Amino acid sequence: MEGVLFNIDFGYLEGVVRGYRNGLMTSSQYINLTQCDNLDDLKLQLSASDYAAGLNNVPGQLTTANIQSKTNETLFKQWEYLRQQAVEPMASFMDYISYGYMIDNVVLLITGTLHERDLAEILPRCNPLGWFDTLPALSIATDMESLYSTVLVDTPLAPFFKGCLSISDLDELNVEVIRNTLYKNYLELFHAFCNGLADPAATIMTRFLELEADRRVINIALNSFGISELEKAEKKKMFPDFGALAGFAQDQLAAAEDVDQIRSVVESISSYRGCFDSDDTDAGTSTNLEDFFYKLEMDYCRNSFTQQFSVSVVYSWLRAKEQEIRNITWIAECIAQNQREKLNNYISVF
Amino acid sequence: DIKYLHLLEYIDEVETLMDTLHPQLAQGFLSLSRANFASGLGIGKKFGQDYWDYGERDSHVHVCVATGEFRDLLQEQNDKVDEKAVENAEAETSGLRSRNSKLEPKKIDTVEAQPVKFKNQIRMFNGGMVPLPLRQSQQKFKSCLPIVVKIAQLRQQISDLMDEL
Repeated sequence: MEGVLFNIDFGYLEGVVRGYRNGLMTSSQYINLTQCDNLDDLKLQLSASDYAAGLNNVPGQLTTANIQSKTNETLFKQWEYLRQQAVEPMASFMDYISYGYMIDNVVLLITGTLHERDLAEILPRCNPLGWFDTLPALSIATDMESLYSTVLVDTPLAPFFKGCLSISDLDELNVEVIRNTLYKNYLELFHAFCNGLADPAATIMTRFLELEADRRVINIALNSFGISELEKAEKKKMFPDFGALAGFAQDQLAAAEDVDQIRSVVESISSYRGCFDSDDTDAGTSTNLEDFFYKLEMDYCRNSFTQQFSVSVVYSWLRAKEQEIRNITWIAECIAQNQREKLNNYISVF
Repeated sequence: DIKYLHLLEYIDEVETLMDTLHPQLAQGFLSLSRANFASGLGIGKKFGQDYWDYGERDSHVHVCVATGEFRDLLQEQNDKVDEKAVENAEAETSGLRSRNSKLEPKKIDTVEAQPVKFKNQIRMFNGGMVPLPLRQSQQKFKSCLPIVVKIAQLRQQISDLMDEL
C-alpha cells in the first residue's frame, strides 16, 4: 500500500537521493585515485565526481584539510536541498538524523569552553548538519543544570538530557560521559520513532540503529580501558538498551578488563564473528574492528537501495557519502605522507 | 685531527639518529590519520587543535640539551602512584595473613593519595576515551622525544667543534 501513496509526497525526494547515490564513487574510480602521485592529481581525478565544483575553488595550496572541508561542503549542500524539500514524516526523520550531529556540536562547544578556547574560533568548526540557533549561547557552560535550564531546554536536544543533569563538575571525562549518555538517549528515541514508520523503512532503520548501538557499546568498552575513574555502573548507563548486545552481553562488556574478554562476548553474536581478526599487525593501522563495522554498515546501505518507497534511502545515502569522504581523506593523507603501501585501506561502497 | 675525527663521529651519529627518527614520525602521523578515519567523530572532525586545552598546564617533560637529560615527569608520577598502590596492596595482604594466624593485626599506615599534578595529554580528546590508533600515535611521538633531544645535543656539539676548527 505504501507504494501507491509514497510518491505523492516523497517521490521527487527519493528520485533526487537515487541520483545522488549514482554519483557515489565506484571501486574503479577509487583505484584511479590510489594511482595519483600528488594531491593535484587527486583533484584532477575528482573533477569527474560531485566534488568538482567545490575543489575548483580552493584558495592557496591544496592540502588534505582543504580537500576534506570542500567535500564536506558538497555533502552539506546536497543535504540542505533534500531537507528543504521534505515534508512529514520525512522532515522529522531527517531532523532525527541531524540530532546526532547537534550532540557533537554541543559537546565540542562545552569542551572548547572548558579548554578556554575563543568561541569565534570554535563555532566555525561545528558540523553544519547539526547547527541550531542557540548553539553560540553554550559558551556559558559551568554546569549541566544551568546549561540545560538556560539554553538547551528549548532546543530539540532537551528530551535527550535524561540522566545528564546530575553531573555538576564539568571535566573532560564527564563531558565524554555526557556525550555518550545523550547519544544513548537519542538512539533510543530514534529507534522508537523508526518503529512507528511504515515498512520497509522500519525494518531497514532498525537494522542500522542496532548496528550503531552495538558499535557504540563495543567502542565505549574498548576505549575506556585505563580510565580508572569510570566505574562499571557508569559505563553501563552509557549503553543503549537495544541491539544484539543488549542484556547480558552489555553487563559482561561493562565489566571486561581486557580485549580478550570483549572479544569472547562480541564474537558470540554470529554476525560479528571475525570482527577482531587483524590482517594488519602493523601498529599504525590495526583498526580492523572499525573497518569491520564500516563494511557491515556499507553492506546495509547497498542493500537498502534495493527497496523502493522508503525514507531510509536518505539515511543510507548519507552514511555512504560520509564513508566516501572518509575514504578520499584517507587516500589524500597517504599520498601526502608518501605511505603508498597503506593506500588501499579504504572501504568501497559500490 | 682528533677534532675532525670527533666531528665525523658526531655527524655519523646524527645521521643514524635521523634514520631512526623519520620512520617513528611517519608511523605516528599514519596512526593519527587512521585514528581520524576510524574515530566516528563525525565528518570533518579530527583529533586536532579543536580539542587542545589553552588553559594553564604544567609541562610533562624536562629536557636539558646541554647534558642530554630527558625526564618524563608524567611517567615518573605514574610510577610513584603504581608503587604506592602495590605497597597498599601488600600491606592489606599482610594484615589479612595476621588475622588468619590469630595474631593482632598490625596497624596499616595508609598512604594518603598524592594529588595528581600531571594529566595525560590524551585526556584532551574525548576525556581519554580514544581509539587505539590515537594511543599508538601518542606512543610513537613520545618515543621520538629522547631522539630529538639527543640530535639537538649532537648538533650543538658539532656547532661548537666547527667554531673551534
